[in-house]
Amino acid sequence: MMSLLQACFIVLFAPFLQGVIKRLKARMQGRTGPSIWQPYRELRKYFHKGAVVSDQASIVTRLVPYGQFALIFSAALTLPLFTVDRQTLLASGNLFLFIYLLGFARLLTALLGMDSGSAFGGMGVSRDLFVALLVEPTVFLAILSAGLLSKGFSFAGITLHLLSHPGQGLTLTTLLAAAALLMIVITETGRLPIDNPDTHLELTMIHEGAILDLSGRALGLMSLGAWMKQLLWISVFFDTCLPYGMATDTAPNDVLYGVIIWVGKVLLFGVVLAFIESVTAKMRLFTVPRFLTLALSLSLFALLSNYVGA
Amino acid sequence: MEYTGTETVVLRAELVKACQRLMQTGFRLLTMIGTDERERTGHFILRYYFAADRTSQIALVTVRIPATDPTYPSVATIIPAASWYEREVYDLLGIQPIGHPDLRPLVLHGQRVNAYPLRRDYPLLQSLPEVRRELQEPALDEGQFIVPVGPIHAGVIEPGHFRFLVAGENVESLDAQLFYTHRGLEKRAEGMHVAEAMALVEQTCGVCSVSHALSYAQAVEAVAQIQLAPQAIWIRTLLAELERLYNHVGDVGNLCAGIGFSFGTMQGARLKEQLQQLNDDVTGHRYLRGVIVVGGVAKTFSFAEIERIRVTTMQILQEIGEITDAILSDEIVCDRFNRTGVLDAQVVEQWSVVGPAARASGVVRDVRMNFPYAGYGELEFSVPTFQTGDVMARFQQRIAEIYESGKLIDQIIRRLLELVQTGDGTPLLTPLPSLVPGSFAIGISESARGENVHFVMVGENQTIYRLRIRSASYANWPAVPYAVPGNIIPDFPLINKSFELCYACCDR
Repeated sequence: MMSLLQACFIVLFAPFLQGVIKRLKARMQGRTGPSIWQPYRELRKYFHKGAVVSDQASIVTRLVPYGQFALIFSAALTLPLFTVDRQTLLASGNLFLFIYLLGFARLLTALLGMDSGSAFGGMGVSRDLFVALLVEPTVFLAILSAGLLSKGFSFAGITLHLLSHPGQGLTLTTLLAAAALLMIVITETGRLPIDNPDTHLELTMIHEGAILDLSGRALGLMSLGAWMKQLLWISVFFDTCLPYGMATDTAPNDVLYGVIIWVGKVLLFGVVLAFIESVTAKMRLFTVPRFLTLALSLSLFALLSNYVGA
Repeated sequence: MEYTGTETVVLRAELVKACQRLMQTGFRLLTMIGTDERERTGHFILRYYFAADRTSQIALVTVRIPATDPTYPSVATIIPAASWYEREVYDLLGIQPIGHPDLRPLVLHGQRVNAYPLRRDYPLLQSLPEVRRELQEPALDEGQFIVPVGPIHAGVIEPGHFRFLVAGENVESLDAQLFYTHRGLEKRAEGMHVAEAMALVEQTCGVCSVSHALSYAQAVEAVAQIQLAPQAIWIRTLLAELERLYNHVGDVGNLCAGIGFSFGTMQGARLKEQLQQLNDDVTGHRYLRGVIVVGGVAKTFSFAEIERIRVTTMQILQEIGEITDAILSDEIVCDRFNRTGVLDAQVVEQWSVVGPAARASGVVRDVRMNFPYAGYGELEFSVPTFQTGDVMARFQQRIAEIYESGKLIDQIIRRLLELVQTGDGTPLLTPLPSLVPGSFAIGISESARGENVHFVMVGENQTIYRLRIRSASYANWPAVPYAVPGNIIPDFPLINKSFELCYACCDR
């Protein structure tokens, strides 16, 4: 019940975070920027519009947006947000389940991108998978090195361990893992310096390239899915590195407190993302591996430091 | 201003040899104009204009093409730069270059039909026949793909169709099909009064309005052989530099947009807006239109306006220094700019590339210096060049030119203040004498993208008989595909932006 509530919260809150980041970015660049409610308006627009579907597209194009949304929603069920109650989380918040639910969603998006045979879809997908290939081992190493402290492979376990031993959040392991995770979040949310979410240059797109063909409801679902994914990765960061303030039961008061803390943390993270986006340029596509190698090395050191007990 | 030049009339068979001789003596192709003069002389006439930058000479090779057999040996076989001109003349006038290496239609897409809109007997309002547009795909090797892009793009930008031959992300070759915004400006201009056509000429391009107006006015004034009032000359020079300044400042920001570097993009946009508001304040038009007229200028500047120009440009120059320093100190920016989209100096020579693109590849080519017009002959300035020919060089080229513009504006303002102070009552406008039908001239001016060359031939009653607008973009577009192979697809927008070529004034 609680996890369903949390997942619904993700759906409702994801566009808000997107709006806040956009607004903050505009402010940091000296513009007024759109209202923070703009993503909700966009969604309303998409869901009221008819869709133009390429005559080359198969049933994949019609089904994937729903499938993708469902998978990301399921992933949201496994993640502790403002309360970590082992019983309420799907599969007790198993991190393999979470990562591969999102991986499956990515696979579906790849199929969608290639379905209509447009050059942009193909290019976007090939780049997206190229990045995914590099980011996956890093994700595992980073989360596992944090997880080794709790001797388990679930977000719930990691979170509970950190909550009961607050001092462990300041160990070298957690700090290194946090740095690696920050880089992963930037990559996975398609932000600068990896991908430019605001570009109109179709030749440079990664995530946008794969969904360039879509319109109407399908585009709405894919956009909402991407925003949810962004919020989920930010939550992963907090679960593994900074879970403080999270409720450990389902008592209404504790949960309410957890919600407030979580929202505050997420918005703060949004500020960080907006700042990074305002001061960096997009990397050359083939230097992305260098960026991710750095993340990988950080998580490797996190893993090692776990054994030397620093 | 008239260019000292020589006209050589050659027979068709000697055309290639005559052009080759000029090329060997340091000339480059400036423009080529085909005219339908069957009603006057019974011939089509082709005029190849050559320019020698070092010696400031213009040479003209004229060849008559009989109406009964509209063919001639192609010059593009020895001068690649002639390629587009000859294709265009074939499209619009139906004069066939024999032996041309690439005879695909250029301006009118699809297969050739027997309709040549620029011939005098083709009515202005008659639409062209429908044609099928077929694309010939090159043979592909294993792992190669064609990525077609445009003409409609994801952003609000001008239309152009690009076909990349790629292997993975690497571009092996690029084919650009332009001319989607061909409006038939030159056909429309025929028969218009030379003074009234200015409104049309200014619409050739959004951001090079002053340069186009200047080239056109100079061509007509050369035909009329009139002298301008000094004040008119200095106002024109000032406008030309104001145009260069807002273009270069805007382009610095645009280049940052190509790599998603929002700091540079936004600062560039902000400064460009300030300059355009300045334009609006002092001329009543954000793109400086309507001031330059044939025979002079339509308005002068008051003390207050000149002071406004001085203060704003000084402030912009100061800010652009801080901003470009910040941009160039970013590691990712430098990584993206360096060694991207290298344009070889050899390509510059072969294709007669002009403007900042040529100078960034180490070729000194600036008509302000080589063929001084307006007030430039009396001003002190240098022509900066860079050697590497990559995006970084073109970026720094623009920054260097911004500073030169600043120095020029300072000098021009001093000259102008003297003239406004003494109030030498000479009218700003010199009346046009009666123009001799059939006389022609070219006018050249340096825009922010390079030289714009206008050819004007006058007809009866002060009207235009033939107008040929050769914009800097027209000269540089054929060279862009040479800068792309060896780069990856996501770098193309950046390379394209570093040339910052215009589609509308290329297509006309």
